Amino acid sequence: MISIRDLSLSQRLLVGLLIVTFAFWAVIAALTIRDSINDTNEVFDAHLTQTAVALLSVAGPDEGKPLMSPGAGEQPSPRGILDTRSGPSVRVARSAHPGGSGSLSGQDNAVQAGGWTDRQTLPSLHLEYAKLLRYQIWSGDGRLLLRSANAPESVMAEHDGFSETTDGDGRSWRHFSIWDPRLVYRVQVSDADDVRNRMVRNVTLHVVTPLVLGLPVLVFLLWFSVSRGLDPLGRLTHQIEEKKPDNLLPLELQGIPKELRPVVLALNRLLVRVAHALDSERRLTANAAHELRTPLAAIQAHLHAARDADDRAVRQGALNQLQRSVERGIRLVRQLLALARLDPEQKLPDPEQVDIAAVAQAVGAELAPLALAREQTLELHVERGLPSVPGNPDLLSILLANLVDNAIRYTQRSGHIDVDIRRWESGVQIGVSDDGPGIPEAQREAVFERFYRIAGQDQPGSGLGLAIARRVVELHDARITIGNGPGNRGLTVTIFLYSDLVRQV
Amino acid sequence: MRILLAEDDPLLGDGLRAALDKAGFKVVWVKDGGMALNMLRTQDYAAMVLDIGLPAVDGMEVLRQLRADGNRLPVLILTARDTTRDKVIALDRGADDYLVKTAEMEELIARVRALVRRSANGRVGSLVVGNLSLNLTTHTISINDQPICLSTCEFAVLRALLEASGRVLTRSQLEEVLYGWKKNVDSNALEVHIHHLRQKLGQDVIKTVRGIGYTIARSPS
Repeated sequence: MISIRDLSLSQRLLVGLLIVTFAFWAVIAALTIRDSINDTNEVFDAHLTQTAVALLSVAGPDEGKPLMSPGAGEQPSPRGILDTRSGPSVRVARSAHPGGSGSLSGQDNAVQAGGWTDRQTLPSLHLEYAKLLRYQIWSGDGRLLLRSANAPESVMAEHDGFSETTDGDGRSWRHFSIWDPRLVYRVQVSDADDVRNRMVRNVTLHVVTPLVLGLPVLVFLLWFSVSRGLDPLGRLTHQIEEKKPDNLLPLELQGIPKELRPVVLALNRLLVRVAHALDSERRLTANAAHELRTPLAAIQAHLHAARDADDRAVRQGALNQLQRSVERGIRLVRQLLALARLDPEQKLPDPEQVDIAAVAQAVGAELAPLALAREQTLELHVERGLPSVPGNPDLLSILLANLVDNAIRYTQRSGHIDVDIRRWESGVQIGVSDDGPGIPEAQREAVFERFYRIAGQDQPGSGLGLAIARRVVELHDARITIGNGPGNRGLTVTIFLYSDLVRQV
Repeated sequence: MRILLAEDDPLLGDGLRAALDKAGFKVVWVKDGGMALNMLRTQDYAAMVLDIGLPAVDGMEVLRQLRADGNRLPVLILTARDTTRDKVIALDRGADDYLVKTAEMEELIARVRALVRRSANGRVGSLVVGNLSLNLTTHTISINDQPICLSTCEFAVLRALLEASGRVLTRSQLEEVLYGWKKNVDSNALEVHIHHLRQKLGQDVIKTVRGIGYTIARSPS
């Protein structure tokens, strides 16, 4: 089964428009047909009534006199207009009114009925109607005085006024029965439903035929305008298809209809982001390859030295250097991996309420051996009753590890490193202080750049630690500041985390 | 003690074998998962060092089949994958320990030792760090071969610190050793035990990292 979801946009539109148009047409047609049925019935009923009244006036034109036929005085009047062919006492009119549709103006026609019918040809519908119109005139005591040729000899309608019956042939008749005011004559007039039905059929056909014939034209016109309307979509598709990874320029907004603008704008924003991500990835890869060369070259050099050393002490020295070079390479790779993971993130992944003290303790435990090996003092101070802050514990752990690791590496042997966690007005602040050489004020912005290294360092760093820290801080919508260490010595890096992650900046 | 090493990189494998060899283990080195499974079926090992990215049958599958066979061999995963998720998956599937490649060789050896010790469930004799010797069978301790008397809690704390020698154990880790997962234990209890241990062992053996925890150096000077 084809669901609406599988249809193309133009197919959907077309189907929708067709359904609506047809529903509309159908309602209009149904209303028209209903009205025409009502009108037809009214006209025919009026006709029946008029005919009956006319016959009645023929039967008793004056209030007092019994019947009609001017100048035929020998019998009570009806006989004057009766044809004797169908029986001695009841005459049958050979045909009914020539007037057909309601122009049955009583007297003349009825009176002359016997005379002119034989000579005159009636139009077929009129004739048809005439055949299907019949009447009877009864006397007050139940004798049939006059009837049309097609009328039965029995009473056609039991009730006065309008009524309906079906005869033996299955034909439906509508009757109108009326008495003259003195209840001397009763006139009954009937017509068959056939005529009414035929008229209704004609009207229906007139209404429906153009609709049906117009259908293919309508479908074509709708299809045409829908296709024309969707043209901009096709052009946009073409434009997007031509995009290549090395051509991520925003799409043209010119000639784009209003409805498609948000799509194009969103797409353009995505393109900018993708281009940016691609660009930073390229830069990172290039930088990484370049930066990895240095520790590898150092490894090679020290290895060479160790192998060629004649002296045991020299060899040991070379091996120590070799180990340091390897460690540097390892650290660089770890930080590159961290950056590669952080870079594509648009927002903080998997945020949760983080117990910063626990994170700091774990990081401290991990890095303390490094500090102990350098105979440094590493201390963690946590204010009591600290609130948890929203964040990603893994990323915060990477952030802290980078700061503490930097502090340990760049601080001299026997130095002090303090991690201080406390409240500030909007959340929790983490300060990492050392009494090492610090960072000159002029370079405190630049140190956050990737691969930036302060000149004259004997400690071979990767230049990525603070870049990673800044990236994590960005993802947390937090702040990072660099200042002098305690007593204006060394360095303090402070992170301000907010208790409320979604805050107004 | 026989160790099964499953590592496909020839350079790293060779280095690991040399280091473990030097540490006194007898190393059987295989380079793919299928071989590892074969070796596991034919011989008993004290522990296995398993790389995840193995050819043919990968490390996780080796681990799965091993555990499916009901083998409780201690397994240390050594892999380049370092996200928390990777670690959790490996540990959930039955690994006993997890180390990221480029970890220091000393740490790897210490962890393998700890695994073997734990699985031996106290059967293995003693734990020696520097001049300290912890007899795991008799639960006695000696310093320079002089026996010292320790309370149960003191012994537990010292054992944890010795097993993790060279690393820092946080206060919460040590409290866990003492009281299991029970929270809100007397905040001074740990300090009291450490204080007593220092009185018995000497002030320098256990080092405090303020605000973080305690450690015993790998080879106390």
